[in-house]
Amino acid sequence: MMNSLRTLLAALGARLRIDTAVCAAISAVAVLLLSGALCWTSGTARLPVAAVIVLASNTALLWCCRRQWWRRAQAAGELVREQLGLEAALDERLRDAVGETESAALAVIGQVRRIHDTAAALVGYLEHSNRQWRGVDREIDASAAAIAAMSRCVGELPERLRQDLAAVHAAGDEIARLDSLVVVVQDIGRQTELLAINAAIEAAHAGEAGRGFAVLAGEVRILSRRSREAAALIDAGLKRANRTVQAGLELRSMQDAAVQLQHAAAVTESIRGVRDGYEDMRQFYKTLFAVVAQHNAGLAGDIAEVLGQIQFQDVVRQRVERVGGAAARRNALLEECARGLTGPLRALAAMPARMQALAQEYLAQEARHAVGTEAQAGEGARLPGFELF
Amino acid sequence: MAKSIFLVDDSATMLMSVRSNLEIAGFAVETAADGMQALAKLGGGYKPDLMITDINMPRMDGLELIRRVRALPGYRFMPILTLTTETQQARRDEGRQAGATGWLVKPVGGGDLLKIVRQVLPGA
Repeated sequence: MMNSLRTLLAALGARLRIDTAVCAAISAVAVLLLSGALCWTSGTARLPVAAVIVLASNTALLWCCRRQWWRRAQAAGELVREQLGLEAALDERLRDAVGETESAALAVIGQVRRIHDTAAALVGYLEHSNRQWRGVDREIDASAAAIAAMSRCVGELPERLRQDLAAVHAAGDEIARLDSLVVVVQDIGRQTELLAINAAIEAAHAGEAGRGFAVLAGEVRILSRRSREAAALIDAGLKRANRTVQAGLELRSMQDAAVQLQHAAAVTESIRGVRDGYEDMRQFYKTLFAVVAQHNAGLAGDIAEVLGQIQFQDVVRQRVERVGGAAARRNALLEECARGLTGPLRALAAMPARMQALAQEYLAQEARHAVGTEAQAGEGARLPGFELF
Repeated sequence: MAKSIFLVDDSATMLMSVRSNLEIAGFAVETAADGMQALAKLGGGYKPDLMITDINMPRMDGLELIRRVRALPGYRFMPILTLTTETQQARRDEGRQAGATGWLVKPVGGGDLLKIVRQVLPGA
């Protein structure tokens, strides 16, 4: 706008120089006419003719100058009004631009809010999973304890097998010892029977006196037979037991025990592997949760800062509004100036001082507000951005 | 229960950005576009824990709003922060005399705003 005014004033200056040339031409024509008239008229008529010519030329000069000045003032006024029309259009565009930045800022805030909501939903899901995980965790701990007990049991199995084997061996030895005792019992039974037979023979020799003894010898014989039968049953039972023990010993051979030991070791190793895998998974999950939670906290901080930075849109809007207010006051002054071009000179002469006062008023108003850079800042920059009273 | 904050500003951008920041941090936020609207809400029974207001607003500016809020029964000690682009000491003094608790200059960082709000709202 100021550049346009300078152009306007330069144009007016140029036209003033043209007006001077026109006045000079009219004056030259008037001098020529006056000289001709003085040469061609008689002595008495010279003075009135010269007076008429001078008066006519001055009137023509005045009329020409006034007409030229009027047209130029009108043209300047029109130009100023055209400029003001352009200013109004620019101001409207500027307001549109501010409105568009506001719409864009609101859209950004909405999108930032959605990003936060998505992140919050993710963290909510993870927290929910974490709560569920803690329940599963307790169950897994219980299962792991059972597995550990089972693992210990399986680990102790070979030793138990060795102990069982030794016990079976001892039982076999005991059975073998009992076998020899059965033979002794059977011998005693046979000898007792022989003794009873002899006693019965001797009782028969004794006649009536040996009848009671014969009965006793018969009973002893029966007992000896029963003892032999019992010994035979015990012998058969011991043989069966011995076969069973031998069969057991064949089954639980040391070779079998070694294979079982290997199996037990493999099972224990597998259980340990499962437990280690579970611990790894739990640690991974904990790390994952911690990382996501940390990232979410960082994201929340960044979102807060973005929301803070968006406030610049309002700061810029207010500055544009202040510029717009100052421009409106300046335009009113220019409008007055345009009208004053065809009015009294005194009113026009006061315009520069009024324009300067307007500029100072705007700068003073601007200094009361926060600015974008410290280099532009005045008193406000030295005061804290936050103050508690 | 979430602390409630009453936000008064004629800028939709300010209202939405500060509101989002505070709501994400767990505060309950109500808004008004100028001093008249704010007084109407307070008169309707809304009792916030903290009020944050702009200074330059149409119809009724922030300083006048603060004066009128302080005159209402039950609002003498409610914290009121101003949030404005104005920085000069003379205006801050006007804010203090009107009854403001603190003076915040726009733009204020999101993290800084939350720190300040928690400073004036212990336990938030």
